[in-house]
Amino acid sequence: MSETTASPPAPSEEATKAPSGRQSSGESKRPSTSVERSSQSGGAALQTEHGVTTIASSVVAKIAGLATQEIPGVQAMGKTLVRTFGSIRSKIPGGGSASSQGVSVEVGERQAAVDIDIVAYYGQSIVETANAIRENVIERIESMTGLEVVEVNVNVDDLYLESDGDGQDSRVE
Amino acid sequence: MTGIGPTHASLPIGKRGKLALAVAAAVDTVKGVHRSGGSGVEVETQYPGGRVVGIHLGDQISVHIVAELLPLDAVIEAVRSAALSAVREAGDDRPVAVTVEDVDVEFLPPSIR
Repeated sequence: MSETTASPPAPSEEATKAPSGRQSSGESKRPSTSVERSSQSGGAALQTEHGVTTIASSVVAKIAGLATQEIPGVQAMGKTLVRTFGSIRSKIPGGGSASSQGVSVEVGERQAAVDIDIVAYYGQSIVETANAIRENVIERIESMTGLEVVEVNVNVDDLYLESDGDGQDSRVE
Repeated sequence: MTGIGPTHASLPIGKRGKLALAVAAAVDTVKGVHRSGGSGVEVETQYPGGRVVGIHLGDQISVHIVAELLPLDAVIEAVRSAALSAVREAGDDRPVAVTVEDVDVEFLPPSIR
């Protein structure tokens, strides 16, 4: 685990940015416009000379989810089926957390791409909500993880009418 | 015990929120107007934790108002220059557009009502 010599940090499936020729599975460098994916773990690895910082993709997903919920026009997150079972799922160990529900991310060594499913309130500008989400997700991920966010796709999956009356109010005003 | 990290509520509101709030504050100092979301779907700017009614940040900064004073020319010009200086102060070079959504006759002198 910990380094015993001054040799470059050599471990683990995560460190793909290994120096000198150790390309992971013969993968060649992608153009910088696409997300540069790291190995199987799908986490961001920030390499320094004294070790590697790894940010798991679930962390990035959680930040994106929380950043989305900060926007007032968002009523809920996730596709319909996922929302229905969301409350059950979050109680199952390893079932994923509620805060990253409706978020899927692709995380590379330096870049990330995010897809978000939301339910918007009826009667407001959906475009405005989407723009606010996009800006906040980029701002939060970039400031907290240092990853460059190349794209944030917002899918408005459903609209919420106050008169729907399923007794569920938004958790954030 | 809570952690010592930043709380959810104390996170920065971002460029978008800051700019919209700054423009709103500038517009609110102008006499004889209040901001308006319009008659249809509200014109607004959303930011983490809130929304600003009557301000829209697009290719241009749109300010929507209800006037309580005539003539409109003077009111519009005052709003435009107040908003513009707030926008420039924030380091943004987009133009400002003012839309008068309504005139509130309650505030007008009886002679012209």
